[in-house]
Amino acid sequence: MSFTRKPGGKALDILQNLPRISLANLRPEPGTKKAEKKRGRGQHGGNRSGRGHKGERQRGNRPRLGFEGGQTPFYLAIPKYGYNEGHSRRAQYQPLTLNRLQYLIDLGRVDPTQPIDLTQLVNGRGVTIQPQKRDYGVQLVGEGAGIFAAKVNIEVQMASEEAIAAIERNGGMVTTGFYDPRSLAVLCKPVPFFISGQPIPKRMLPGEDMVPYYTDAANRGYLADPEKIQKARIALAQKYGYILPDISKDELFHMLSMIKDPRQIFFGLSPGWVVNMAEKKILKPTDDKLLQYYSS
Amino acid sequence: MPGHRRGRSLSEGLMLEESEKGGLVVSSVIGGSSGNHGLKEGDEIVGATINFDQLSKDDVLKILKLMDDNGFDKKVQVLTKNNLSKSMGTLDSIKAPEEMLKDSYNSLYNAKINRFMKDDSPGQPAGAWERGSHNGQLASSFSGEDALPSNLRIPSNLVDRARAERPPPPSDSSLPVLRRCDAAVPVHLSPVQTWVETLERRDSKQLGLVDLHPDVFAVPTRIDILHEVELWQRNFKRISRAHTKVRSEVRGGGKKPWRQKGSGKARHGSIRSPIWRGGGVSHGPRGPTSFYYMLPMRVRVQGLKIALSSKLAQDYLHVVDTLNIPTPDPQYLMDLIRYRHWGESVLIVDVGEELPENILQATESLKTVNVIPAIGLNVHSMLKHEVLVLTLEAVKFLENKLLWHDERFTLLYPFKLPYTDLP
Repeated sequence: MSFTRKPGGKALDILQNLPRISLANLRPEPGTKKAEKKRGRGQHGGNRSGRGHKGERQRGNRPRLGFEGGQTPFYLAIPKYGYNEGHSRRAQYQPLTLNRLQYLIDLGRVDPTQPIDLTQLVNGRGVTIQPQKRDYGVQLVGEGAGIFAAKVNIEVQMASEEAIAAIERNGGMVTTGFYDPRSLAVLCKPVPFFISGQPIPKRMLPGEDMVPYYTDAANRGYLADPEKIQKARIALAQKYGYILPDISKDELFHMLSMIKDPRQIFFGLSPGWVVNMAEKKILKPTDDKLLQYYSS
Repeated sequence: MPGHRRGRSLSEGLMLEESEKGGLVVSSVIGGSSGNHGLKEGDEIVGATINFDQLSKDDVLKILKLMDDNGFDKKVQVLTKNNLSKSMGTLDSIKAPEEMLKDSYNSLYNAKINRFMKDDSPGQPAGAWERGSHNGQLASSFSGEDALPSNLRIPSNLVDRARAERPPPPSDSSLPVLRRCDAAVPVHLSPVQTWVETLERRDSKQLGLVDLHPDVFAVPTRIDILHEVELWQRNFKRISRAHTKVRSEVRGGGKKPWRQKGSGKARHGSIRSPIWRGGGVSHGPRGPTSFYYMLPMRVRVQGLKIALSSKLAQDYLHVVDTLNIPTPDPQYLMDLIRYRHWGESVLIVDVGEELPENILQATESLKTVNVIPAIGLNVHSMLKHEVLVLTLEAVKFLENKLLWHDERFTLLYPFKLPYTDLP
């Protein structure tokens, strides 16, 4: 049907008639290696060696960066204001557009028949999360709401109203959940964590400032009341003008209604368990105190 | 004058006459024409060369005495071995320099170059012409459309004669295909094929064919990538331990040698300043320096693929079923390589930690034939050795490992930790 190209093409044909490629024949692509200018040598690198003529420039005695000859420099003349105060301590949420989510589902990198978690997104290389850089997770952004057409059960850390509406319009479920930095690191890279042999930690509850966000049904928070969430779904459907599909009659209802416990990091694994990857075993604690701690 | 018998070489019946000027002319030739050195009627005999190579001492003395008795010694020039080697071997060989140059050029031309001219005899090795290659063809600039462009013509000293002795399998070969590609071949490409041989007997025939994946063995050649990988292999392990002492590290030199003013000498602060003899070095090498850098993984993988492809394309790759040889004798391997016209140096690759003892013993003492496990395959070794020999398992291993990089995500965590799909 299609034209079968010869593998390697004309290059290999020409190669058959040329001498053997050996250590003596190798050379870089002409033009890639430009010889550097050695200072103090030759017509162009020598003489003043690129330092200019006399003065502080040639003698290497220029004043510090920002000095303006005595005039109050710019960085001192402008008054301070806390624009960037505490910027390195602010929480960051990597955006995930609905366009990108649809792209990942279409290419098969994320499986919509299973609950979509941050682990699944990272495994499919959909988002890149750096827990060490004050990333607190992923936020769902409404760009591409018009073309989104996948029924998914997705769990993110923040979600915009438009994104929630788009997902629920297609018969899916959105939940927002909080992960403290250590749990987030475990969630993003589970394999290195399991190899370290530590028991799965319990997820910490959000800080004071984020509790109102996660207890609000409008954000589909994981700490909110389920009844209020149902009411919020209906209200959102009315606001955006679509009929809310009844997911209880859906064949994937069980999968769509899977939600994690507030202290749980992985579906199917409880805090306190140790996963042995080499022997493919799970070890569970038996001590009372440990059980009490992990189930609190 | 009556004809003289001149021994066995000249037949009977060479009639000579004296010409008007006084020389000897052949008047008639009687008898077989093959024996009289091509002499015809009317040829003037000017001189004769007698080669004393196989004559005994008595015979030589007889001839010389004959010359002497008859008073011909002035016309006789005796040549020693040195003379002979300097001259062209004949008495009459005093020619003009231009003529001698022309002679030497002609002999060289006939020996080396004439064979490659287009309308040559079918004495050429069949393999070179079957593929329609023009190895070393010399054609004038007015030759026409079939001649290779001047930048692709190879001088004859770079042409590898042995390569013509081992052509690749024709497309309609009747041998069975012993191994098909495990991974899926892209739709627009087809596998490349090569023979499968054995090392059991020196002169055994090919066992069959093997399919090689085009994305590993027929990759477009990039010499610059090979160059990069080769440089990386040389330099990333390099630690230069050159270290010189700075003026502060050289022993001594804390005290001002003489007073600043009044001594008449130049002003100095320390006897170990870089201006001084025995002083420190200003900008010398400082301590162990590492030249470590890593090329991206995919560039290194591509380098391996290009090296394998170029070996296959230039007929320097051989596939062997196993490395079992009958004797641990290194001479057997050398004979085999000679017989099969493989080349000067051979790199043999097999998979696994335990290689057959015979081949290990055989190659231990050999410098140009080396065995390595498949994980040790690298671009430098492949380019250093002329020929690469892979076993079927090595082919499978390499294809598996090298094709994985084509379709993988970026690594989340290092290779050492387990991956489900890592080969």
